[in-house]
Amino acid sequence: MSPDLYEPQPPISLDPRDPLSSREKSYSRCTRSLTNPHKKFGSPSIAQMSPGYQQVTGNTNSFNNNNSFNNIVNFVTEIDGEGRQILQWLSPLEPQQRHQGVRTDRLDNVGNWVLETSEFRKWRDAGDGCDEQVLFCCGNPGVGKTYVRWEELGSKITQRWLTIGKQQFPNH
Amino acid sequence: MGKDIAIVGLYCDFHAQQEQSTTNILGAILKQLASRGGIPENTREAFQNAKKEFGGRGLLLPDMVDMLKKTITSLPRLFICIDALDECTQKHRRELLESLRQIVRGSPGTRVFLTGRPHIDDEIVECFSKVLRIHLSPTPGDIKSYLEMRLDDDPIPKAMDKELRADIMRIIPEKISEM
Repeated sequence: MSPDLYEPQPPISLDPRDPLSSREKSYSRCTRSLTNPHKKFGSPSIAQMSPGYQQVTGNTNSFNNNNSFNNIVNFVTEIDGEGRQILQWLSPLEPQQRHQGVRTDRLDNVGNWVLETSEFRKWRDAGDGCDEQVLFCCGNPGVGKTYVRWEELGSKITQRWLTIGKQQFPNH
Repeated sequence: MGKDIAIVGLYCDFHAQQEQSTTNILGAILKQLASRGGIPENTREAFQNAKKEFGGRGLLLPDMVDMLKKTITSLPRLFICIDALDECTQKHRRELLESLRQIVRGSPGTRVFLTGRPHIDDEIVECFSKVLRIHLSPTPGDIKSYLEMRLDDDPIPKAMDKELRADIMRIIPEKISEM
């Protein structure tokens, strides 16, 4: 019984008083998949907000900034019913969906040298109104893609860079 | 939300080219800001006006750029990260870069972080005269870490012996450095 084969349903639809054992079984399987951060359906609140998201954003899951974003932007806002409709209206994409594979975890130090480059530092430290607002990290497909998966490298850089951003502005 | 740093990002994917239109990508950025900092008033108004129209009008790119520009003026530091920009369609990429140019121009505290294959460099330069660039290629250390990780994950460890492992660890980094 692999959780991979299971099609999760929102746990909200499950009534705990329901005597059917199949329901209980289904609930426990559902919980398993929801507690696994590597599964696509890790965020039931987003699933409820945007029922069509799994078709449109199977891909965008890989962006794994969600937690770091939380750390830096330190305010919590209640979103009302209309607010949720507005968020859905703005875009069907769900880039905050967190997806971080075990492999990414294990490649902790890969790509860190980028953060030591003068280009990165210049871009990070430049004051307001500078001309150099854009940093482009480009990778040669013949090398980068085959042996170090490009997206892992990219997301590592982003992740590390979030930490640096936080250190740079500790009072915010 | 005056004193906060906001970091928003999106990962482009070749398999989602249709869904990842420019409007949807920028919308996802605004959505991230709004879901943390609250729905901006002008966005709420735009939504209410769109709802009044027959069938509810969808968003157009200029409206989206305008909403985003208004929202980010209150942020002293905004980092917009777009990964794998080369995986968008060329049309979407051009539109996106042009929109980012408009957004960044009016917001000195905004920084844009892009990743992609080198061939999109010309398109980026067309929109931004000064671009800082880092050419990525894995360092020998990166390659070794990656190889070790893959070898440790080997589903059939019996098929591996020390000698083969040593050969892999030696030959693959050598070949890569020759590329």
